[in-house]
Amino acid sequence: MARANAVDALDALTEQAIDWMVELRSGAADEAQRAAFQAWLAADARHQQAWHSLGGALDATFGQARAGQGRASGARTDAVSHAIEQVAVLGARRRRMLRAALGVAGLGLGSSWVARSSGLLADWRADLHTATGERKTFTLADGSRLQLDARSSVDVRFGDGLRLVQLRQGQLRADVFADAAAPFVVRTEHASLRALGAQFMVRQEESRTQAVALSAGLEVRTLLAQPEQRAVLAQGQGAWIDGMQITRLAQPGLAAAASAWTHGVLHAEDQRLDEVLAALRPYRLGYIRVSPAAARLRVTGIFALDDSDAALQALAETLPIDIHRHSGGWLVRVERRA
Amino acid sequence: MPAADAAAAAALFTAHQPWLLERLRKRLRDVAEAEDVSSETFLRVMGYKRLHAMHEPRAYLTTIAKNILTETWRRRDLERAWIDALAALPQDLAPSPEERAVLRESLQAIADALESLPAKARTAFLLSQLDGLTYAEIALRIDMSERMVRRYMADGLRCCMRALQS
Repeated sequence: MARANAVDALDALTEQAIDWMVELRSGAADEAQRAAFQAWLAADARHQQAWHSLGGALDATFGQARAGQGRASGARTDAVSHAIEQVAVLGARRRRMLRAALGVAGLGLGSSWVARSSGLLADWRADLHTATGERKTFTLADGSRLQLDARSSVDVRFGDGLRLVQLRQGQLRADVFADAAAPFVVRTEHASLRALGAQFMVRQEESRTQAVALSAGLEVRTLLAQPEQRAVLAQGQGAWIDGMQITRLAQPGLAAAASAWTHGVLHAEDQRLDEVLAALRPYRLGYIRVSPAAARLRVTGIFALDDSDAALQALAETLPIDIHRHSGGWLVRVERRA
Repeated sequence: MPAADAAAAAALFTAHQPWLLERLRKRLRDVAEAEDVSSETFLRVMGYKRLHAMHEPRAYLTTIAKNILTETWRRRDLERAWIDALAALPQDLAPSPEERAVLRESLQAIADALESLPAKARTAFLLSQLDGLTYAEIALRIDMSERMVRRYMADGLRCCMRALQS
């Protein structure tokens, strides 16, 4: 079917699902149409699958911004359209500039080349961020302070009786300015942490978050676990929060070890080697690979974050591992000695 | 990564990293960004399975570095454009802080999926998806027939499907 400006049609089942979605979102669908849609859905498992995929595509694009019917101001669209149009113009200008600057090789590279970001680049979308090897303290509008570890980023959302800090990546130490009228909350992918005292630490890893109360009181809530779980950490206590549960930590010296990075020191107490190396990663441009056998080794010690080469050297001297440096230290392989 | 590929990656890095970094430094003026982009470029190269079969490494490296810069700048541009767009809205229409946070979260994905749509089609689709307007309201608002609105809805949905598949 040829028509101007149209997007090419997809496979037949997807097109059917699209037709139904168009019908049901119109704002004028009646009972008969809804019944017909239910019949279509029930008629074939492939219909359900196509419908489900389409819903998934909308969720992936719009996330929580997806509206129900009838908000009707149009302001959200105005803002988003405007931003996209502007970015298209800027993008075209930038592409021309880059072509002139670097020269285009004229190679058609597949998406495998550009697929996944390694997390190495500073996250420019975030309100506050640090680069590789950089620690920085930010003072927020309310006088509270956030110290970010290397390669960390946060968004700050203050207002309406809530001071919300979203930790996107890495770790932070918060020094909270007391304000009973506006709770101070740090959110990660896994947890929501409300300050009851002045100081606490939060570290986000891929599948879990660590929180440690440095002064009296930190309320911990799970964001992914069903049903939601809560705990209150007293001074010096900590917890891991993952998709399932809160696991309390209360070993002596936890607070000092957890905040050692703020002084540029990595303090490991009987930690797995891969955890120790993970803490070094944000301080190195390049890549550290650790073999599974080496990853399980336990490490206790104090290492300088700002000199990660020395830290690697110290690990090699105390553990049964071989450290192979390639490409001037840019690629490091850590293997258990045979 | 198999040993052969690791060796190929290391050889590639040794042979071309200084060259790429120098090139980026000259063009970008920002040393830290040049280093980050150079590192990211090699990290992505290492993810490539047929590394040893690469014939024109510098051409590939340049193209990848360019893609990385394009992505990075686009993210920054989008952020700036978003702030401008919010500032341009009349006070009484501006979205609440919660709405802004939610929209900003999805902005990148929305822009990626819908950038290729003509502006009118994109606006019509967003009015339905983000603001929940009915087709009759959309038709009135941007002065088009409801038949066109339906067509644009289908185009928008196809774009979202394609973005998910790519």
